[in-house]
Amino acid sequence: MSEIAVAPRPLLVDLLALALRFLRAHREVSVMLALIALMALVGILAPLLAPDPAAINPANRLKPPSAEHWLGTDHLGRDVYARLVFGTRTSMSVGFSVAAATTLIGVVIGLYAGFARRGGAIVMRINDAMMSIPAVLLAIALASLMSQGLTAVIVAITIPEIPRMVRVVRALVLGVRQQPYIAAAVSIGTRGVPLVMRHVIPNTLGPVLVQATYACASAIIASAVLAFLGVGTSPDVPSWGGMMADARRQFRLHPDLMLYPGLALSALVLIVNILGDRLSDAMDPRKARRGIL
Amino acid sequence: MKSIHLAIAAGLLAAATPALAQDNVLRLRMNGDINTVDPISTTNYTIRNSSYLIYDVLFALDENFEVQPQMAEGVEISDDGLTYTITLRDGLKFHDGSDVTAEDAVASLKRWGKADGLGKIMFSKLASIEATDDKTLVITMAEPWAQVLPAIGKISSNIPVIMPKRLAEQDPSDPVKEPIGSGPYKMVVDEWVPGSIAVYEAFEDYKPRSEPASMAAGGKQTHFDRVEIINIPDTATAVDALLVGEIDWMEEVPGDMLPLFEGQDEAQAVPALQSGNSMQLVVNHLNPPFDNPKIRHALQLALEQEPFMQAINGDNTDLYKICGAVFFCDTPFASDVNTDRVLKRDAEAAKALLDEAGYDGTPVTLLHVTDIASHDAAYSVLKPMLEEAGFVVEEQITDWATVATRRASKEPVANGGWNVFFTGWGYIDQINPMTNVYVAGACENGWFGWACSQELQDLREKFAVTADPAEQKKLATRMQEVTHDLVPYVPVGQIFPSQGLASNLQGYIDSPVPFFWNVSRGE
Amino acid sequence: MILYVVGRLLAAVPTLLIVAIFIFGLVHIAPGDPAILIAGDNANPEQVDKIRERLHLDRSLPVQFGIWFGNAVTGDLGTSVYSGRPVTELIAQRVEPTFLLALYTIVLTVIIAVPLGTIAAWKANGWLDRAIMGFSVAGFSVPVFATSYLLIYVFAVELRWFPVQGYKALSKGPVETLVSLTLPSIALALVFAALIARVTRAAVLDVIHENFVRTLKAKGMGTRRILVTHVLKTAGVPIVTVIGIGLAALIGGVVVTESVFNIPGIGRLTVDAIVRRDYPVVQGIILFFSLTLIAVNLVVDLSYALFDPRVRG
Repeated sequence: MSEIAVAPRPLLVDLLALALRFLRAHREVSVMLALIALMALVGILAPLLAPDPAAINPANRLKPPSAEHWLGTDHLGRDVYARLVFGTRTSMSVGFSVAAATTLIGVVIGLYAGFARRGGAIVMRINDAMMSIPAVLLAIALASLMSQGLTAVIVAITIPEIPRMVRVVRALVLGVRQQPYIAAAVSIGTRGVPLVMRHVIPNTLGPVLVQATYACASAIIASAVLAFLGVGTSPDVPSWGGMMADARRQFRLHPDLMLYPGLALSALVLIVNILGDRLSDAMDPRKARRGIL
Repeated sequence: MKSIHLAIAAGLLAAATPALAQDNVLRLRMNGDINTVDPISTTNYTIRNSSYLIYDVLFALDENFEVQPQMAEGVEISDDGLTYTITLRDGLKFHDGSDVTAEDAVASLKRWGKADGLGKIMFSKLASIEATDDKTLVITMAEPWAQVLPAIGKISSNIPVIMPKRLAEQDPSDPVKEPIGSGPYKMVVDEWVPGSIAVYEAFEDYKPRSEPASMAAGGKQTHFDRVEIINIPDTATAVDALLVGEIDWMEEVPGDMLPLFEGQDEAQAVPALQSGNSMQLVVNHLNPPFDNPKIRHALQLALEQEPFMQAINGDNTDLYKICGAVFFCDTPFASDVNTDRVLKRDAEAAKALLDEAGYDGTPVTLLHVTDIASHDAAYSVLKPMLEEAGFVVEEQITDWATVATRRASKEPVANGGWNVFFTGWGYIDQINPMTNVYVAGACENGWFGWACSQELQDLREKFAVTADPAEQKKLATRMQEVTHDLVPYVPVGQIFPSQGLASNLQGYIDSPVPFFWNVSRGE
Repeated sequence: MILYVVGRLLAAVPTLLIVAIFIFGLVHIAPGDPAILIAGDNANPEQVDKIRERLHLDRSLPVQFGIWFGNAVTGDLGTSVYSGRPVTELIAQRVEPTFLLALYTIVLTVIIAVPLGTIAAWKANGWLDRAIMGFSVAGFSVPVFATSYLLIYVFAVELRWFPVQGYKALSKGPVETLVSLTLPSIALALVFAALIARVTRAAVLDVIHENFVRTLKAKGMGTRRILVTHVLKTAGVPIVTVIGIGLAALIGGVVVTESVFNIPGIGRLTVDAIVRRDYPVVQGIILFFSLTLIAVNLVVDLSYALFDPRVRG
């Protein structure tokens, strides 16, 4: 159906070539990726772009924008612009760490659940149980359990995300297993890890990528929600969610304090979501390209 | 999209003139929530405040901080100062309809004496307490102790409330579940939703004293049929609710939101000078590096109050006071003695002192609390201050529940112990050398931090037996001197939070403890 | 049919057990001692010890789990460490606001999202489609608390159409209840509608190309009528499913909106209980939520069976 899923190719080089071809064919995907790269660059170069985001100055709090503080100062006299720039790092690292961890763990468990007969059933039972716990509540409980900042937040958000990925991967594996080429591969003696690496993973890559982008987007929002509820935020590490939570009391008098991080956060989430949509459309052209009625 | 919302909004608009607080209900937002009806089982201030609705007390403080009879008709003290004969007023009734008897009062005081700090000291010096008839109770001390009336007339936690004997026989650690008191309001248990709302109705059989209300003393006139204590967790929402008239009273308005009260006439922010509180950095004497007196002195040198107060209160300089006095500034026992140690910051001197003390870089662990805004700000200010003065700081992000638990641990930091934490104490508890926890010097038996000083213990013993104000002042001053040398804590400032009050409320009582009687709705 | 329902219910038992063990372990490992929180600032160690003993907090974890689970089976979820009241009572007190909030949100969502999604599918790839889909992506790109503050500011503080906070119980009149829940429901519906609009669009797109639609069109039936009468009916199944699945996400949003708007619902009870280390309440609620979700999914599956005879078998 999709370009990626046409034929199982083993080599990394081929995958890269494929990815390039894919990007050329799907302009919007490339644009979104470029925007994400740009934001990542801002995060990486943050120390060059902005002053110290943690430097407090209580005597100079809640000041309007000035030459010294481009976007003014917050309730502890910290530079809002600097926190915004450095916040890029936090939000992106939460988003991408969660996406990466969810994908990695989810794929491994999902593959197991898809291939193992009895073990698979047990895994899915546990998976269903985890899914029946509302994600935000589980994340709150986990974050207050660990109480140690960014890593805790990442772990707390990742754990409730995993079951969804497991479900997606397992469904894909069950589908792929029916395909004739798998039977063919098995008949010529391909088994175990090589079978999975060569045939299963490439054919599940698309939907998994899409699911990963959604995990990334929802993780960024979730981290803001956790910050809002006052669990698992690290005041030392500037984050957009944390900035918005801090700005609550100032909302009526200094709405800009919530506006800047809010815009940044929404923009990033929007970009990641659009990326996910376009990827999903690209994988399954049938969905998007018809408008006959 | 928009039009759909507007349509829905318009459809509901007819009914959307919300029942604002114009009915005969007083709606309050306290800092905390009502989770128990037993003020003996907890020292929580919100429980204390709400308990004054349900329960009454034998004696109470008036606005001059003098003890006056409340449920008591009067008291006779024997010439040797050992025997107190207290008679009850006529016509006192509990909410279950039964009469208040001296038996009830004796049982209630005994229960209080098992829980309250001052109560325990009193009962350790007591020979007997008994009801001689329905209206009379007799307290006999084993040795002269000048604090009997101040103790049973104390205004803050734990207040010696009177409840029926059958309830008062329960152990203090087992909270009473039935709210039966003889106070001006009775609780409507059916409408109580812990975490959300507690409702009280005027008690028709309450007989207020004839004197005018004066702080906790005098007549408790109830002008509202119903009092609701509503728990609004979000401060921003609470202020908005006050400004549109959904609530009448907010115990504490954050300094940053005070400008919202300008240019509108729905509500006013009233600086509560008496109900101030103070914030302290409590120091653990058991763990390095602060087991070393010189390093504790370096800690004092590393800090100054102004940045903490600015971070918490903003530019509102009238909301706080830089104060190094152990018993608060502008109080009977206020003093400047030895306050240089806590008021003057000198990072270089701190460094030099650390070198002299042989500070080996043992990290100071900060348990940075994020779920209480003022604590969060204070830790953010503290970290760079300590680092500039040469301390090695290790920060852990956590919440109040964790710190409240960890602070009880005497273990090393690595095993769940601690070095320092911020907390706040109210005016009324701090101004009294008998209740201020930092001047106890009680070592391992004391409050968290376990600062140890035989001299402080002796000073408190002496204080308790003297009734001479001059002698008390002398002892209190010496306590302050010793305390600042010992460093059980470093004060970071005195705060006077503003209360938010609906503009049409009148007759509210300015007091360190908010009281909800006497207040009425004007026009 | 009955066998199917019973089977599904039985299958839910191990799921619940896993949830129970997991949650129990989780809350008990967390640092923080509820006894100390209850005792307050002035308490001494003996007072704390007595409280701990009274709450069985001094027993070993498996024993505590045993006591709790044994009671839970009989419907007794224990008493709150924080307020000393039965957990079942606390949950019961708070079901009404949360249930109504969720219901109101779903109704608003359907009113907003299903037409939008259908229009988007109808005009697929046109500017209207792009605009609607743009809105829907934006919908879940903004944290719900930010929308909430904005709504409060505009509609409660400035316009004074709705109360800032609070909940009026049904017993005081359904209109007041509705008014008190409007702003929080809108805040939530904006997020939820984004999701449902997308699903509706996809489902309608799928159906539009089915043969029967072509036939109807060939017969000369108007597009709008086809959309409303035939397409939506068929597309109903996936939409209902997603509303069911979305309920879990909705509960997450409820936690936040209940805090901002001060609605005494289960969401806030949960957050409070976690922060206060009120173990019995946390356990009880998560179990309650899991049960609800399992029940909702069962109902959703059963409604498939009604829609689609093939499942009934």
